[in-house]
Amino acid sequence: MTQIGEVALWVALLLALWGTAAAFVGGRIGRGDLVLSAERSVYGVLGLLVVASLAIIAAFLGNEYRYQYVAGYSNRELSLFYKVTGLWAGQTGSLVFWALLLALFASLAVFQNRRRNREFMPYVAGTLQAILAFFLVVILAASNPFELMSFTPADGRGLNPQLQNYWMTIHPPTLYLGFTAFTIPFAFAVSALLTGRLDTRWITTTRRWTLLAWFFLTNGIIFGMMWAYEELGWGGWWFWDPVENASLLPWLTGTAYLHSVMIQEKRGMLKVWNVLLIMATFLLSILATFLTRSGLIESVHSFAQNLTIAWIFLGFLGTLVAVSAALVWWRRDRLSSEGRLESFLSREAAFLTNNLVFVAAMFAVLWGTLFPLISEGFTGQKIATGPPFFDRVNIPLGLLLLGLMGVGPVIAWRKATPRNLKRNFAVPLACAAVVALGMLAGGVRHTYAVLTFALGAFTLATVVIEFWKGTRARARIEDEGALPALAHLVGRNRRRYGGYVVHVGLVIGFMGIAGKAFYVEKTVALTPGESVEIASPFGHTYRLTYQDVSWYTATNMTKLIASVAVEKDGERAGVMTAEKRSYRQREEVTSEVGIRRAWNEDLYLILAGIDDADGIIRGTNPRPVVTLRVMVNTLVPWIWFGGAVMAVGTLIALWPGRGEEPRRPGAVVGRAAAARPREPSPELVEA
Amino acid sequence: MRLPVLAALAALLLAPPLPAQDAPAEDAATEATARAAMAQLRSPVTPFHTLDMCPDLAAAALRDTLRMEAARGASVDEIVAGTIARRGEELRIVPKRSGVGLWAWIAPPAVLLGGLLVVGAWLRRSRAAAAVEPEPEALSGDDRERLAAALAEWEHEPGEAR
Repeated sequence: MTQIGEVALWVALLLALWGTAAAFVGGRIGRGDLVLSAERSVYGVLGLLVVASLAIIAAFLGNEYRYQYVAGYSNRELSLFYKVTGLWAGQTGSLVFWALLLALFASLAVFQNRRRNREFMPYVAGTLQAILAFFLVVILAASNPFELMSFTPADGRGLNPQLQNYWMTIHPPTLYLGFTAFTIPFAFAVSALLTGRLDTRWITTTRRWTLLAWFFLTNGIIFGMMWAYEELGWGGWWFWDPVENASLLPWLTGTAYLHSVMIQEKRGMLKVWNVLLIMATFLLSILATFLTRSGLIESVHSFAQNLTIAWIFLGFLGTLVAVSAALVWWRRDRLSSEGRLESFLSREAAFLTNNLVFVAAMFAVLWGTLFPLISEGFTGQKIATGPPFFDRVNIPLGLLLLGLMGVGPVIAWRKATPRNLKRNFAVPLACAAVVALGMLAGGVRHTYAVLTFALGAFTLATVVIEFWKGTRARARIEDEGALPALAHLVGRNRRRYGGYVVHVGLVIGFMGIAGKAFYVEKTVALTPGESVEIASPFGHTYRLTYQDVSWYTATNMTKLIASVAVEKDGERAGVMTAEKRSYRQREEVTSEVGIRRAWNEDLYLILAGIDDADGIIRGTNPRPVVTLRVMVNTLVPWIWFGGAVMAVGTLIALWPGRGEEPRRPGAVVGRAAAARPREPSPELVEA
Repeated sequence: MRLPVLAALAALLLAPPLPAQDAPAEDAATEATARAAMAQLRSPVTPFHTLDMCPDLAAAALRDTLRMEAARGASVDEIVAGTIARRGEELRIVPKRSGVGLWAWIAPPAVLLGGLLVVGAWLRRSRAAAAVEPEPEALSGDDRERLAAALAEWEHEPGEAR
C-alpha cells in the first residue's frame, strides 16, 4: 500500500502537468477534446492524491518507522486518533493534505461547471492544475512523505505534545480548507483576465466559493485561538506569532474582497481593485503555507526548517506575482470603472474606506511579521516585533473597522443627504453615547475598551434597526406575524441578512477581545491547604484552596496534577485541576490548564511550577509547594460565541435560496464550449 | 505497579526540570510591574515566547531578577531598558522609535494615509469629470411625484437586494 502511495504521487504530477498543458493549449486553439481531457485529469489527480493520503495513514497505523515522516511524528504509544491525523501533523504530510484539499475543491468546481461557464473553464482547469503541479513538485522534490530512513528504528519520536490536543486535529484542516478554497475564485479571476470577460460574471460565479473559503478560514483561525487558549497555557488566545499572522493575512484581504465586490456588482466600480484583492488573497494563502512550512521565521509553529522548500515557494510566489501583475496590466483597459465616486458620504466611499483599512491592517501584520527579516537583510541586525507592537498598530485599525461596520450597510448609495444620515445614524449614535457614558460613569477608564463597547453598540443598533424596519415593512405588506415576517425577510435575501448576522458575531467577538482590559491575575506559591482569593470585575470572589499534587502514568506520558477546590462567592463550586505532563518519547514537559467557564468570564488556572517534582514521585516530598497562576479572563467566552454567530451568519449567506439572486441564462459560448452539448434549458450560473 | 512507577520516575528524570523558583513577588503591585515588563521582553531561551509565558527554568531565573528590580521601585520601562542593556538587543520585541526601528512604526500608517490620499484624488477627479457633463433636464412635477413614490416603495420593500 505504501509503495503505491509514492507511485500515485508521481503519476499525479504527470497528470497535473498534462492537465495544465492541455487546458491552456485547448483553450487557446479551441480544442474541446483537450479541454475535456484536462478537466478529467483534475478528477484523476484527486483520486491519486486520495491513494497517496491513504498510504500515509496506513503507514502511520502500521507503525512503519522506515519512513522518515512516520518515525518523526508517531510512536507505538500514540493513540489511534492522532495516528490518523498524523497526515497533517508535520510539514511533509500537510503539503500532501493541502494538495488533496485543493484537488477536491478543483474537482468540485470542474464538476459544478461542466455545463456552464464554459468559456472560463479551460483556463480555470489549467490554473488549478498548474498550482497542483507545483505542490506535487514540492512534495516529490523536497518533502517526500515516503522518504526512507537510513535504518528502521524500533519506535518513532512521537507527536509533538502540543499537537496532542483535539483542537489541533480540527484547526489545521479547517484552515487549509479556507486557504485552498480561495484558489477557485483566483482561478476564475485569472480566467476572466485571459478571456477578457471582466464583467461581474466571474464574481457571481465564485461568490459562494469565496464565502465558503471565508467560512473555513474564519473558523480555522478561531479553532487555532481555542487551541492556543487551552494548550499553550499562558492565558491568552492570540500571540501575534508569525504563523498566526500568516493565517490572518488572507482573511483580511478576503474580507475586504467580500465587501468590495458588492460595489462592482451594484455600480460597476473597483474592477481592478477586486481582481487585485482576490489575487492577493490567494498569494497570501500561499505565503501563509510558505511561512508555516519553511521555518524561515521563528515561530511556535515552526516544527521544522526546510530551506529547499523556502526557495521553491519563494520562486513560485515570485512567478505568481509577476504573472498576476502582467495579466492585470494587459487587461487594464477592460478594467476601467463604469461608475463614479460621487461623494465621500456614500456607501461606495464607506466600503472603499473599509477596504483601505483592511488592506492597511494586512500590510501592518505582514510588515511586522517580516520586519525581523527585512531589518536583518538591510542592517545585519534583527529587530523583533512582538505582541505589544502588533497590538499598538492594529487596535486603532480594528476600532475603525468596527465603526465602519455600522456605517457601510446603511448609508445611502452615491451621496447621503443630511436627512438620510440623521434617519440612519441618530439612534445608533445615541446608543453609542449611552454605552460610553455608562462605562465612564461606572469607573471604566480603559480608552480602547470604552471605544470598543461604544462602537459595538453603534454597529449593533444599526443592524437591529435594519432587521426591525425590514420585518415591520414585510409584516405590513404581506400581513404576516413578526416571526414569519422576519424568517421570510432573511430567507428572501440571505446574503444581506446573513452578512448582518456576521457583523453581530464580529461585534460580540470584538467585545470579548476588549474584555482583556479587565483581566485579573494573581501568581501565588501555596502549600497544601493554603488558599488564594481573586475578585472578578463582575463582582464575584473566587477562593481557590490548593489540595495536593497527584501523579500517574498514562499512555505516552506521566502526569502531575494539582487539585484545587474552588468556592465562588462563598459557595462550593467544584474542583479544578492543572497539570504538568512529561512526554516520554519527546522528553518534553507541557502544561495543561484548568478552565472553569461561565457565560461572562473564565477562571483560568496554570500550574506554573512544582517544588521538587521528582520528590513527589519518589515519595520524599509529601507536601509539595506549587506555584499557581490564577486568572479571571473576562469576556473570553464572548469571543467563541461571536465566532459561532459569525459561522451561523456565513451559513445563512451561503445557503441557496429561491428568489435570492437574479437568474441568468446559462451561457455556453466560446470555442472551447464545443466539447459540451448545449443546455436544454437555462439554469443558474451562480456557483 | 512497580514498573509504571519506575518508568514515570525515569521519564521525569529524563525530562527537563520543572521550574522550582519563579515564586511571585509578595507585593501585588510589584508583581504587576514585573509581569508588564516580562510581557515586553523576549525569552532568551525559547525565542518565540515572551518572557512571561516561557516555561523554561532559565526564563524563571530571569523573571525573578525582574521581580527584584520591580521591588526596588524600577518602572516597567526602566526594567525593560535595563534588561536589554545587560542581555542584548535580541530580547527587544517592541522596536525602538528611532533608527531602523522607526520604519516598523511609520510604514503601516503611511500605507493607510497613502490609500486615503488616492481615494481623495479619485473623488476630486470624479467630481471634476461630473462638473463638465451637461446638467440633466429638471424633473417635471409628474416625474417628481413618481420618483418620490418609487423611492418610498423601494425604502419599504422588504428583502430588497442592496
